[in-house]
Amino acid sequence: MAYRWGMAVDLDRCTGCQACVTACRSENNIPTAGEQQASRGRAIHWIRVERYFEGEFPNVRVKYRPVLCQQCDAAPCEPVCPTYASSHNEDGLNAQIYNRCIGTRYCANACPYNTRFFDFFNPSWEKPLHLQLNPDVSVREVGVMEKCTFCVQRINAAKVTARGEDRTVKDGEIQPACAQSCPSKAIVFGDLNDPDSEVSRLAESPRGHKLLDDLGTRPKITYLEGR
Amino acid sequence: MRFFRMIACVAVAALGVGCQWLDDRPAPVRSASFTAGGQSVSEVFSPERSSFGAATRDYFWVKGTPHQPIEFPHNIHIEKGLACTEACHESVTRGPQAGLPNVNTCLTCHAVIATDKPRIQEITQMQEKGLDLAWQRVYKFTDMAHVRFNHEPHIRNNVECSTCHGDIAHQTVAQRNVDLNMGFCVTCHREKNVSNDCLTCHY
Amino acid sequence: MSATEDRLTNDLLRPLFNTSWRFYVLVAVLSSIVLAGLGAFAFQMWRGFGLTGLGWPIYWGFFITDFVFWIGISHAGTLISAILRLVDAGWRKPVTRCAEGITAFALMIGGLFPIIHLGKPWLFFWLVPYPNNRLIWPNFRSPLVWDFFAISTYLTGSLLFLFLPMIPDFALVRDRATGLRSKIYGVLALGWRGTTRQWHNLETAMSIMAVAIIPVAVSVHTIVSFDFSMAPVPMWHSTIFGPYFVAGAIFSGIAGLIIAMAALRHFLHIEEYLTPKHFDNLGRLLLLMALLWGYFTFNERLTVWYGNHEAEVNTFMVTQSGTFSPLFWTMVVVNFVLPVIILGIKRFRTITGCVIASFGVCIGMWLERFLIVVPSLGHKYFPYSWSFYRPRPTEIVITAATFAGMVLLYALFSKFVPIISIWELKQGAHQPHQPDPIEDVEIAEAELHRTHA
Repeated sequence: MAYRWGMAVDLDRCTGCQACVTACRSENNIPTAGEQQASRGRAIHWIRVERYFEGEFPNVRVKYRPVLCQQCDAAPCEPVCPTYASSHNEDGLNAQIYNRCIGTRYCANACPYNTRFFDFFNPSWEKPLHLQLNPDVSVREVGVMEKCTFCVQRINAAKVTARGEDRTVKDGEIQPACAQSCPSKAIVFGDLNDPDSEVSRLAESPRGHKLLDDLGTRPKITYLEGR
Repeated sequence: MRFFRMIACVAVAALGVGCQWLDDRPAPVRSASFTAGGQSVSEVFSPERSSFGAATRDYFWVKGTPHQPIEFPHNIHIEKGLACTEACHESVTRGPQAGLPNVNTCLTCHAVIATDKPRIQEITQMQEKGLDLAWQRVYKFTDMAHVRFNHEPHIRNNVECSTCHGDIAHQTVAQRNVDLNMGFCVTCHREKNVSNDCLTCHY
Repeated sequence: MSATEDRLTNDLLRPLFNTSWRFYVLVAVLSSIVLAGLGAFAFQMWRGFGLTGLGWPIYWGFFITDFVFWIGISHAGTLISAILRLVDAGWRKPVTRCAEGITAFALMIGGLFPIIHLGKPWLFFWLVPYPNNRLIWPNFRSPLVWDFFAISTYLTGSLLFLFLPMIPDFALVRDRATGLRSKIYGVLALGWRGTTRQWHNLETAMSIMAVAIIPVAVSVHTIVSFDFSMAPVPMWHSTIFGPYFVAGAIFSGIAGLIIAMAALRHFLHIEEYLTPKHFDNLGRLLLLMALLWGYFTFNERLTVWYGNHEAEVNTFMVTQSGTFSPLFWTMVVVNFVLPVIILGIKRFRTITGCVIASFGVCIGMWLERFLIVVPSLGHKYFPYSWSFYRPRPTEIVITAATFAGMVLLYALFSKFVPIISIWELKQGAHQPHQPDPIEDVEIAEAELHRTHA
């Protein structure tokens, strides 16, 4: 039975604390751009918390929405890549294969969510900060695209362990860095092919919706929001 | 002719000035360098190649020959009935890294066996001085290949060591017997009907 | 060989045998600009793509604009040469080779940009389908792979189309020159002796190529437009892009041709062969294309505005009245208003008038491509990710270098190859005078005026 990894994000629980953003950076070796480069749009955030305001002052309501790669089933980034660097995998993940990427940046243009990022320079870490880099995740060099992988290193490790024990991955066994660090448990990750998993249950919720659903990208992330 | 030379000089000068003007990259932060164990290290860690030559070598997959601290005879150990995974590469069944023996591993047996051989004496001296063996990697992928290999599932599925490492049982020092390029991996994965997904190895 | 033919040959071969110091200065200046561009590219490869002004989420900018622009300019040759050859328009003869030269060089330059704009240009060959031990092929669903095939086909075709009619002229130079030059042109002439069979083969090959190259040319720019229209980006995802891009390409191609012809006429002193009549005819074609372009632009924008999709209207408004509006309205003026006024009024349709209009069109068409690429990327669906783009020196230097490179290649071309097809002109001289429709109308008009007076 193949897995189909998915996620549910409860916007009513999200406080916009940015813990997921920080956790993602340290898990996935995301370089820091610096002030000048960030102002030129070179900052990389695999997950970002978008902040929107509703209503007129003083009756303003602020809303937070963590946006990461939606791991679409019909992903616009995939058919446009000339080298298959952006391709679909058996578990329904949108793979970004760094070594196959030649940096046309077409996928980033096609992505309606703007969740793909380009490495404009070779990243660098002042030593000894390089010792905090995650050995299970590549350090991406200049000229490739990168994006949220749903922490594929954790998925692969869990799958290897499970197969060693001759079983399937249990619900809740894998947690991406963002879900793990969320203090209000707004982010839930799991297997959408398993009808009993929490994420499957949440994906069916009447509060759920998909981002830019009308584009037909069929995202695997469900956003939950009360009206 | 002088005219052309002048033009060329101006062009080169303009190029030099232009390069300075074009350079936009933030300079790496310089601070008091952290040195571990008295080694002098470069202050910044980066996937950037140190030189143009290094980049070219990587591009064409030119690999240097490793020089091991001692000439370890694989063949003798195998002949004596020692299995690869038994003592030396013992973590091979449990995770990505096969593991390499340190001097203490050697001396578990060699405290009593063949103590008269010069190589063994060398190791014994190393242990007394508190030194260890600085093994060099034989099989290695370039950083740009972004390959992650896990020994564990391969051993579990009874892939012979020699499939990927060649006839090391009859060699002394480990050599690169097999060219582990991507074609080698995917061909075997196809034959064995296991995952050929990019994300299985590249992430 | 008659006296007129002799003079014709002398006139047109003069640039090949006499070179003034001004030419060397021109070549030196242009080469240094091209070198600066190459330096900037090398530096960009070394340091990283961050030297450009691109950033999240605007990942395409000057380079893609230049790419589409140069592929557009390359459409000069095909239209003028292939179509006019097929309909056997007599006035095309001195124009065809200038036009075909533009096609070949603009394609070479345009074809470089997809490589320049890569994050890892040294891996560009992964677009080529070749058997490899990794068992991976290029993704044939990707418009960029279609681009690779389209451009390489078009480049091969247009080089052949350029080379074939040059063979008899190479033979002519071979026979006139001495020493090494004679040998080089001898190789290029491919053993041309001027036998009946050879003439017959050449004519056949030319008619096949003329028929074959037109669908290739049309498909090339359609495929370039697919780079945009296949992505779900506001104002890119449009069915009109195919014909819109082809029309724009031919439009800018004719403008480029007019500029090139005026320059050749001025600097090579071939006023006798490139006459005001040629410019008048090309001016009319340019006027037609200006009207067509205006129609397409109106069409494209009207449907977006009327469709009233939120993200599309944001992009629409930002070009119409927002930050990009100065560029947009400049484009409308130089691409539509100015050419229609200058070329629509007969008194203004002189050589100078045509050249002014053409410069305007070249600038306008470059802006058009820029306005397609950048505002859309900067205004995608989430307002959170709206952004702006400002080019940085690297991109500007490389862009300038390609313009210099085009002039350089063209100048060298005019030095090594008779820029006007000598044998075709002679062939025209042999034939009994065929009434030219345009000339006839002019004569008739003049007579009409006289009788009225």
